[in-house]
Amino acid sequence: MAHSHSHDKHTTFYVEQIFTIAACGAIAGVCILLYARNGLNGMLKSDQHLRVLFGGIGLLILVAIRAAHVWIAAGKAPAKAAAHNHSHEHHHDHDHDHAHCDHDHAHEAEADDQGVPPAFAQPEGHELFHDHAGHDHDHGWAPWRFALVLLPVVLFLLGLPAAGGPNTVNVTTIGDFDSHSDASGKGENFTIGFNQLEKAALNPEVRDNIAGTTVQLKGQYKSDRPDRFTLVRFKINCCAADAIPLKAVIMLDPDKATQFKVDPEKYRGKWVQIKGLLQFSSVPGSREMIPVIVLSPTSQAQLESELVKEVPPDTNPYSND
Amino acid sequence: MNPIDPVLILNNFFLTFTSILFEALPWVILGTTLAGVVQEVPSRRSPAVMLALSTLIVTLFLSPFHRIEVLASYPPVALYALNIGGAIGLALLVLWLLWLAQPVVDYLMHLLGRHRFLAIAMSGFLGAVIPMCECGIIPVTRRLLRKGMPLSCCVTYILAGPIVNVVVLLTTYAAFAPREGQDGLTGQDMAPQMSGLWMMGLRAVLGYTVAVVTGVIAEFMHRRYGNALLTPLTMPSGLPVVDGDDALPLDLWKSVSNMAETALHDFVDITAYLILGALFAATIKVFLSNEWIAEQSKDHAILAILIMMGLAIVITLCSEADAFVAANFITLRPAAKLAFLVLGPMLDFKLIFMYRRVFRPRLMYTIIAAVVVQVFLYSLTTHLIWDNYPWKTKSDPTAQVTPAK
Repeated sequence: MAHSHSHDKHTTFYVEQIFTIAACGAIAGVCILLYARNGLNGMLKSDQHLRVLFGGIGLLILVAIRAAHVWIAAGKAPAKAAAHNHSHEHHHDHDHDHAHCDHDHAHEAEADDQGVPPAFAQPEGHELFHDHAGHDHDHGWAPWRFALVLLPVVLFLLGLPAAGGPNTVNVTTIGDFDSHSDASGKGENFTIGFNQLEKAALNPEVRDNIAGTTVQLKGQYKSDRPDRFTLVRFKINCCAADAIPLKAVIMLDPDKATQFKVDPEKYRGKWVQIKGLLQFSSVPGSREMIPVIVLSPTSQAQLESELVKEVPPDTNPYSND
Repeated sequence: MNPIDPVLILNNFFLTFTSILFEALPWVILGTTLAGVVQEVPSRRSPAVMLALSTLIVTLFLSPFHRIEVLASYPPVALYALNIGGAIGLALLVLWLLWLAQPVVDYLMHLLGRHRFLAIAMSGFLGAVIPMCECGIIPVTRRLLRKGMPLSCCVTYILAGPIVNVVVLLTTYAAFAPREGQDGLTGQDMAPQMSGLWMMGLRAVLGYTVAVVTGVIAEFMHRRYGNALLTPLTMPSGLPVVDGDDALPLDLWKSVSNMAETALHDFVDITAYLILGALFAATIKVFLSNEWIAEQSKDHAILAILIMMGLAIVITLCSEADAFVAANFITLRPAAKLAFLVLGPMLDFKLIFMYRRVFRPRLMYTIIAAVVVQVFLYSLTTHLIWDNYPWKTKSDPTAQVTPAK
């Protein structure tokens, strides 16, 4: 192997190593910072957050080890590059070296049509060069991959998606019993989250406790009938990509359904906040109980202004926890 | 969800993208670290090391501190330490026991080495031993291939690993069990559903079968074409494995550093393709609504299977989470959900990009074709059997009506 060549490779090798270390370090930093700043709230379910933290810490440890090694090696290498190669070969296990050699040459043979017999053409294994040589032929020094890997870092710095800011506020006020709704102390009239509704529906005890209270619920209107509609919000099971709609059934008090109506044309697709009496009803042909909120309007105007109130949509369509 | 606001659409796009990414990242980090370990540890000792690490993962996953919301109000540091320490201790115990039992391991490996098809059948269960989702499995498999694990076994492991897996099967059960027969107040268009146990069992059985059959196909292809099926990075060493020595590499610092290098290199490699896949998936998610799919596929069982298969490829979910999404399609027949659950972990955008880093196109397209055709056929069979199941109405749990409270 020519000397000048070796030097070239040397430089590129270090550049690539530094890029790898920097990119991985940045990702690790983003993982940890996202966890620390609760930036994961809108993205992942809460029991996944620790994983991201541990992943970030693990990655940081790897980066630290590698950085230390490259730092030390960079100090030694320029002075005695050739000697270093050889000294390495004795230290390192053979399979590793040859696997890398094989890799380089298999590709070289394919790319350059040189027909070099694999594994033996280049008997020296380079501990420091092996991966670099691989890159040279395999995908080259590929900055696009680093650009891609840095995309989440850029997004994080830009504060995208807007999860750390307004969304989390919405999530907490929507997802949990709202402390600043009136009369929350009595538990008679509180904003309830969809997830609580779903959990309550599955648990007889909670159902008993909560049934009969007046609740407020916010979600997206969906219906074709004047006396009955559903509100939809999305729930994250693992990450935002697997969000599933949660539904609550809202119906007018059957006694009053003839006098009043909730016009589907008026509300279709809009976000509304509703206020009504929480009940649970069994699904026909099933053991499942589902939450039903019964509206008892006193007048059509009150129904539209107070019980089914149009509100601006949430920036975060998800209902967390 | 019909967001009209472009800012909202953009934000949703980034939300989907980052959530797919950060959901998968811990697994990629775990997988690439394991890949580094595989690369550095002598092949003979790999089973012991891998089993010890998997003990650590399973213990941490099942341990109560993982449920952070339980402890969120008061984080007891001692409890964390005890938990993590206990998990590490257990893993070390497993490592020590297997170190002592090395002759047994050697014998088993020898046995599997001689009986290829037995080895393929066993590879299908490897996921049960090392529970990881698909993103973690790919880098590990790549290094296993280089270490000389047969191609067919690796194909089987890649395909079966994310399904035949304690963590994934438990979440599948958890997703379907509480939903037996649920459908709002509009119960009339509900399809007869399977119970959580059935879904879990069938998912495991179908996933395993698809993986093993594809592994056998890969075996015959490998006999014909050899290592030309693999990308250079995964090509096994042409030399006999010479690292049969018992001891771990002597120079610990060097091997730890090498491990870190392998891990970081693989991490950048896999993450770049993961990001490509996530970008793709997020783009499509913007234009796709679950309700549209449910509408389209309500009446046509066979079409529904195909649509759900397409959806599985498109939305690029983690195999840990997809069961909840499938369970939510209440109007769909169980066979279509099953198709979604079995195909999703084997084939989606991120996986297509990642497979390209392991297999050459010839093998990759064969695997994709084999998986798609099999999933469709098995789901169709399930559908035909399930819809004509003579005892269905009698044993169907949805038939019992609980009186209203």
